[in-house]
Amino acid sequence: MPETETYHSETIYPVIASDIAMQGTKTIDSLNRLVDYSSLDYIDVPGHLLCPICQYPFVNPYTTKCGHTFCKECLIQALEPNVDLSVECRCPIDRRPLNRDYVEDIFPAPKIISNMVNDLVAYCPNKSRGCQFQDQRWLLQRHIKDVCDYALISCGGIKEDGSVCSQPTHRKFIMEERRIQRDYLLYGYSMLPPTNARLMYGSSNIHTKNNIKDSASSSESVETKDKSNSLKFDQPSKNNLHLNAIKDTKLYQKLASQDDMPLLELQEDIQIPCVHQESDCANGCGIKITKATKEAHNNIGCTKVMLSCEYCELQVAKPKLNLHFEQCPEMTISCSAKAYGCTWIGIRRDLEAEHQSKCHFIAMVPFLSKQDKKIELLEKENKSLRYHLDNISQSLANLPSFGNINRNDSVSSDSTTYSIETTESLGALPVLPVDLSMTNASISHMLMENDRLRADLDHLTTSLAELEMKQNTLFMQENFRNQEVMHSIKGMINTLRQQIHYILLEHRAFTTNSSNPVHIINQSSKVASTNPELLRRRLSDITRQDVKL
Amino acid sequence: MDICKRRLMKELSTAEKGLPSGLTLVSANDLTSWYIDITVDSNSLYQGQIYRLMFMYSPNYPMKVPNVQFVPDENRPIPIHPHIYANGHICLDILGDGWTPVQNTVSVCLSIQSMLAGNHTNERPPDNDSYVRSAPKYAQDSRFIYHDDSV
Ligand SMILES: [Zn+2]
Ligand SMILES: [Zn+2]
Ligand SMILES: [Zn+2]
Ligand SMILES: [Zn+2]
Ligand SMILES: [Zn+2]
Ligand SMILES: [Zn+2]
Ligand SMILES: [Zn+2]
Repeated sequence: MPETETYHSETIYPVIASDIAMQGTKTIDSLNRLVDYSSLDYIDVPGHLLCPICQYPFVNPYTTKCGHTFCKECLIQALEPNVDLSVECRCPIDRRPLNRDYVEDIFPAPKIISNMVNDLVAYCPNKSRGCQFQDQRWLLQRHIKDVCDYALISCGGIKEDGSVCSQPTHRKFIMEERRIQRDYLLYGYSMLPPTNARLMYGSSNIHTKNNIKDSASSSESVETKDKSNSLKFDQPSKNNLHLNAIKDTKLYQKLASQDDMPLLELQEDIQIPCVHQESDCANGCGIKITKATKEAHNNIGCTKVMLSCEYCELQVAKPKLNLHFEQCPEMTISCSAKAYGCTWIGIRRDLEAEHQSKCHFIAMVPFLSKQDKKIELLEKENKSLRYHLDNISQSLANLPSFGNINRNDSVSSDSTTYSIETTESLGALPVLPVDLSMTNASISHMLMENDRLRADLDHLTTSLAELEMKQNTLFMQENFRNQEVMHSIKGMINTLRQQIHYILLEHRAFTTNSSNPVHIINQSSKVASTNPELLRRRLSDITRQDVKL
Repeated sequence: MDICKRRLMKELSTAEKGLPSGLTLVSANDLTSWYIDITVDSNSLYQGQIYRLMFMYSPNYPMKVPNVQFVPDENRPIPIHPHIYANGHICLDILGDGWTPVQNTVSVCLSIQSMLAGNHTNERPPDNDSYVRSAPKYAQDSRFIYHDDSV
């Protein structure tokens, strides 16, 4: 891509995030992560901007020559040739052959598409930790890098033993500490009125306000200042830290002149105590907390934070308040059949005592909820039917484009002439585009049918070839067996012939011997000399049999 | 990064919001295999009966087709259908060469559902016995010849 946009390009910025931190990773570098567009929690994504493969909004959209758009990553993987190149790579939607190595087959989608997906609004990836921020996805990187309260950054605080902590923590806690330190440095020595400070850091929390109070009072005398300081941190090493920092007049001037510069940029200048140091919960519940876990503990975990129920004035531990609300007898509630129209409102005790027996709506609840279930079922069914219908109409919509792309095919050129003919035959009548697309559709349907038949034919041919092979081997085997049988038969015939020959000779010798033994010699020599054909014929007979077998 | 995992997470979250009628997600404990119960009440052959489908996803899903077959238990038989073998293997083109990555678990279920809904032959495939005798464990490892699309 020759031109690169500055902000909409797919450049990925390093981001501080993730739960790697929870596994005790030490350095800030390993916390750097890229904002993964494909795992964001998007708000309201139009279906057209979802990749059909991964079903998330496009990341680096690529378009095919058949006009379908996917994430680059998804498309590349879908078009990965298999090992023996036996199967052609095809478009996942219309199965047109595509080669991922050809620039004319797949190429970056038009800029407008990437701009549209980059403008999609998503939650901050740190939503699960409590960040409520949402913005266009290309702006989230900046949010996490510079402002997100819940991004993980290296603590950088000074531990009790004087070393620098490198454990990660939420930016929020570091910022709080920095604010405290900065306000202390600023208002401990400058005469900025506290009201001003409050205006400037309206968003800052109680700690900051406390600190302002502290510093305002501490400006009166050095002793009180030191006292408040040590009260706040309870650690002598911190005190030294502060004094060191305060002595650095350069830093002080810098702070005083640019008091509204982004806090993060003060990072190198201000030293803060480590936020991971444990202390006992101030409420006395006995659990060790750190500055980083204090807020969560006070909100949900601490059993010593008692709240009085606003209805019955019972004292309930904070974690159990919601449970209490479910049964508080003095709580104002509406009738349990409110969804079906009862307008009664009163305290829970009255509901159980009087209203429940009188209310007509409550009596109807079983029936009505049954109806509700039925409606829900029907809606579900309707939804699945709609899904089917969508599928069908989508495949119908895809058909004409299929025909058009194949214009070079001989069959498709037929289709063009065919549609022209229909146009002519309709004459003066206005030709609706629907007609054309319908013809195209039916022709592409034919084409598909043709493809299918061809595939079937291929199957048949292969199975035919297989059958032929099988037949051949069978035939060969049969042949061998026959040959063997014939050999044995031949052997038998030979022995038979020899036996017959022997018997004949025996017989002849016997008959001549009985009449005239001398004559037989003559006769036999005579036979041998006068009848050579007989012998020769026999011989030839044998050879012929040999050949035959 | 991992398309397979992301895709299955997305499919799971959609499935948990509700599947089309006749489909119930039984379990998807790990992301590698799901069980889905399927009913086909529009066809009297299968009415009132629940069948169970098993989906097994390889790490390169959705680029590669998942292994899909019916699994029996005492209450869930294998449906009788000319394209479904007695061991639960299904002869369906989208579960073989016809697969494309734009298909998903629900679309496969719906295809199987409509395949059952449109059937009126109460028979196993003609080569059922010989196939079942020599079939591999997973249907995916068989190479079916897709007889016809009429059913
Ligand atoms: Zn395409
Ligand atoms: Zn994608
Ligand atoms: Zn955030
Ligand atoms: Zn620390
Ligand atoms: Zn506590
Ligand atoms: Zn109460
Ligand atoms: Zn009522």
